[in-house]
Amino acid sequence: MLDFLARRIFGAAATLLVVVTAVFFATRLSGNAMDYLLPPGIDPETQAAMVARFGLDQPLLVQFGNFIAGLFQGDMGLSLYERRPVTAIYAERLPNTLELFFYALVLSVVVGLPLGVAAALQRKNAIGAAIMGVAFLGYATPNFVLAIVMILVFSFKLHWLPSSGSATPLHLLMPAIVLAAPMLAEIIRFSRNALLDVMSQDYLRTARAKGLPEHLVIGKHALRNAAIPVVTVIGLQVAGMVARCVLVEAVFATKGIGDLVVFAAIGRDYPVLQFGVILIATLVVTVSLVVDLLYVLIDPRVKVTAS
Amino acid sequence: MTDLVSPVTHPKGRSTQRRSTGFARLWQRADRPARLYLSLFAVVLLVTLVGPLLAPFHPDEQSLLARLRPPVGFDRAMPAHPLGTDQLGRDLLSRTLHGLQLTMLIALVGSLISLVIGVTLGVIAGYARGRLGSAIMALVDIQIAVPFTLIALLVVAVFGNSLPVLIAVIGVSGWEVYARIVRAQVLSVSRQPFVEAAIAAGAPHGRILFKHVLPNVASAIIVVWTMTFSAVILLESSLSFLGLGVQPPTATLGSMVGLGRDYLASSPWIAVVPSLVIMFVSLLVLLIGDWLRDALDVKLK
Repeated sequence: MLDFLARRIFGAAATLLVVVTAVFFATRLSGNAMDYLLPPGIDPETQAAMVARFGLDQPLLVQFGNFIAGLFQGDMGLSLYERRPVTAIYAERLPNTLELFFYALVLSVVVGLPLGVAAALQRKNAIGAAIMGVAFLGYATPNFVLAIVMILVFSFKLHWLPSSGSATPLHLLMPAIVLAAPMLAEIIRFSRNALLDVMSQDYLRTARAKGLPEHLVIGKHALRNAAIPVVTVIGLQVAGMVARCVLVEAVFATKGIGDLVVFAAIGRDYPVLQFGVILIATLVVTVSLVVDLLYVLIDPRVKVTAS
Repeated sequence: MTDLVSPVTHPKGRSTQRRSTGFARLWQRADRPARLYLSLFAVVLLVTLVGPLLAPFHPDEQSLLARLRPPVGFDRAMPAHPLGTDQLGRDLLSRTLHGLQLTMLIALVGSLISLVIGVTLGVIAGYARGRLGSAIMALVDIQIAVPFTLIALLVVAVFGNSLPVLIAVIGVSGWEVYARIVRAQVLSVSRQPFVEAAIAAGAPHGRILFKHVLPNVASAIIVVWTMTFSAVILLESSLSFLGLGVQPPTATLGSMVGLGRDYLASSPWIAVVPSLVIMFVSLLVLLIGDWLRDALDVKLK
């Protein structure tokens, strides 16, 4: 067990090290950022001063050393446009993204689980088929298409919800739904299949044979055992959700870290871009690590094998 | 060697069946919905191929007198522009036809590149094992751990947005799926008696790989390719939608949606028309992938 733990943590750390290194060198591949950020025809002295201010005059390895040191000290340099510390910008925006994740997570579990159970119990009639159809659509519809359709319907036709921004929780409702859609669909699918799996087991027949009422058969025996694969899929999808936030936040301009990263990439604001990539990668890697460990704790049957 | 072995392993009655091509056999086994998906996809392919020839206008041709016209059936529609026009008066039907072709081209070339990279690395990891194999699998783990959108953002920020960059970005995406599955398949195939027999008979590595191992892994590769193809279409569309794909005014389906976003309130059709096409194609490919996986009985875990 300890061995497994150590290996997983080592793997996560190695991944992040590769990410940090790759991000640093990739963003420097295109040459000196000052060359295209400063207006043409600027006098050489000012240019040199600007280059020195952002530390771009030092050798690459020294810059890399400073970069790593800065990473641990929380100093990731200044945004090329806003001239503010990158970490301050992200600190400002992270709460919006976390709030959005929270809504999306709650939404997909609270709506997905009952629908999955309903689809399993009603599998032979139209209700079950309808739920699975919706789940398939939720899984297959591209994020931005869903976003566009929702903005059209709920903002412009019905005037119920604001189309962008993050001023109130209501602003985050549509982005949360779009972000949650694939996860919601996966939870429906997995909880349905897990429940159907469990329902064909002998111990359920025994429970029914001894005269247990149906709601107890399902509630006490079936649901509990069906929970394990569902927990796994939630964990897997959370990592995917962090990755999808980039696109969803850019569409709805929620002032989170996702839209920040996209606009940094378009505007080539490297300090903002590189920290954003590192931050999001760290979030994803950490979430998958935690999910893996939780999974081992929840399900004693999981074999921790060396591979 | 194989020629000697095959009559023994395959009963005589099946040898004639094996003559018919893989696709014809699949078609015979396909149920009604699967035949519908395949036929619809054939139509999509046909439109992709000849669509631009049928387009009534040049996709970038502007007409200031016919700006923001809705599709036929709505007020102010012009019969010359059945799907309407955008803010510059460009014909949406023509742009959609050209955009579909470019999107499919990028997705096809990109996904083939990632197929080749992934299969090569997967075969090496499964066949050679040892240090090299572990190194490749470590790379796979890293690629799985890091969201691909981030890599795409970095690459586009560094190299700018252009068609070759977009294809290259898509080419490096998704290789890890092939590598993981191909490695697992190669590992299990290599333990089969006929491969061990070939090794014992002293067949060179190349012959073992291409005559014995790869043909047995082929159906898994085809299934993975189909199943990731819709993801590739969506990746291309998402990047173009964000303005990180091809340069304007060139149309891909994603970039058309991205441009149409600004006119959603007044002229929703600009974004809706290409959105529907993207959704239709990606759904279709997804359904075919699902069916193919079951039909070829490939285990992907």
